[in-house]
Amino acid sequence: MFYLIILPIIFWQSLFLLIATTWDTFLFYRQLRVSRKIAIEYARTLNLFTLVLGWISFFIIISFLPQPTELRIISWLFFGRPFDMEENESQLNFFLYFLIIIITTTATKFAGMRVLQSLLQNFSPAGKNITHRKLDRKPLFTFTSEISIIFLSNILINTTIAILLFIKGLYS
Amino acid sequence: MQNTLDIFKKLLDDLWKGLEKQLKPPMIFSAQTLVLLSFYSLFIGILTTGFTQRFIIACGWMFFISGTAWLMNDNPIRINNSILLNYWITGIIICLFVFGYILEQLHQLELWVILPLVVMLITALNDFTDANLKFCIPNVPTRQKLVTLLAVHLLISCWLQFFFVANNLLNDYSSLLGENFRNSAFVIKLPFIPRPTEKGELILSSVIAPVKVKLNNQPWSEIEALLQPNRTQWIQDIHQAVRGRLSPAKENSLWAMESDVTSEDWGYGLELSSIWNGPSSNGDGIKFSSKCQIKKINTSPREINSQSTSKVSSTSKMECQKIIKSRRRL
Repeated sequence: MFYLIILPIIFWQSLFLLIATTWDTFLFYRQLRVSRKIAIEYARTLNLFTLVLGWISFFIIISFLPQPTELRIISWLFFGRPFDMEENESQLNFFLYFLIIIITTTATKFAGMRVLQSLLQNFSPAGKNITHRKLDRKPLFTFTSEISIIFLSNILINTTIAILLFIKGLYS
Repeated sequence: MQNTLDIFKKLLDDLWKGLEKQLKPPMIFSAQTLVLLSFYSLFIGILTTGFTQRFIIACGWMFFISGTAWLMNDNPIRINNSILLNYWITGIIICLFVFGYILEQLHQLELWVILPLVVMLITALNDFTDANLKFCIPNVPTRQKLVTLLAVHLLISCWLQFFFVANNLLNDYSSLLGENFRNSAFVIKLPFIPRPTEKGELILSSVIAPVKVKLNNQPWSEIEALLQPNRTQWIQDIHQAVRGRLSPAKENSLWAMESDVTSEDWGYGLELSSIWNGPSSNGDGIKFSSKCQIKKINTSPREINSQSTSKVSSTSKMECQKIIKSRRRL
């Protein structure tokens, strides 16, 4: 029997995609100095694949979880609250998940970027895709390597999402 | 009479001409030929049996899939002149053929998770072939489009899979169905679903029945022995036996049984509670409880033994109130 529909997660993930693509596009364009079109395309594709890999990992992990951990996940999924956890433990876990998500998404996006670069061969930072005008623009930050830009972008994305979820929590 | 026959004849004639116009293939190698071949295969298939029948009907399905895909390629179906539905319709027909006809598992809705990937494959097939149906590597913009399309279709598949995972989790822990899902950022509960059978209530009523048998019409001294020193043990034994009889579900182990005895003027009060130790919407445990009264009934010696002793003996009478659902702060 089906009792649940998943509209909230579709809404939140679409919003997440929008925010993530915006941040990534902005940083790829400003820091890595690729064309606007390519920045958008790479940002969109990388974020989509990161979400897909996240989902696949979730489906694999949830089928092997012991019951106490499964119950904690159910509590988060269905009721948006911790279960069988002290407040300190829950805050520490939140921080750890935040770190794990940032590190794994950075690694995934970086690997994804390399795959896309070899597949499409149209992404060359500060290369032939940019116009003279863009080269004159000074980057916002001093570092311009791909992995550090992705890392920075992930911190910004996850912070934005965390703020949004916090605001949602205040109003629910 | 002649006039009516003429009108009828003309109607049939028009109908035939209309059908002919619609169904007659413009040339031998055309989409209409494939669709007609599929109907022909179905007709021939009905007349045969066994493997031959399955093979001919499978061929009919393939003719039908190719024919409809071709027809839709010539006349694309769009929503608001933008969203192309062709590949989705072809994908659904292919899935119906594979899941329904080949695998005979159409009721297994989980299989439909791969529908977006089938649609993606059909879309990609178009870009990997040229006008002469020869394999060709698409150019960079098409490759970029295909990679994005693949990611979008994979994400839709993941959402479908999550729909099944969430519902399976709820089926495993069906006691959560009565909870409030308002705070969830992942799912919402469908409105107007029938009130679920409360497992806690079922367990408690199944425990009360044997407890009543054990405590009703017993000598009072035995009642005191049963209620005071080892009450928890034998009630837990009954609870375990009841749980063993329940239909297997992951949530069964999360239901615990508690009992509390109070001494009253008229005998003993026994409160039996079935307690949910799993997650809940407001963090409180769910509790089903029933208060029972075990009254001391004095019986005259005649009633016990007609020959006999001068001593007044006492027996028990147990009555339980209705089961009440409440919240319990953990």
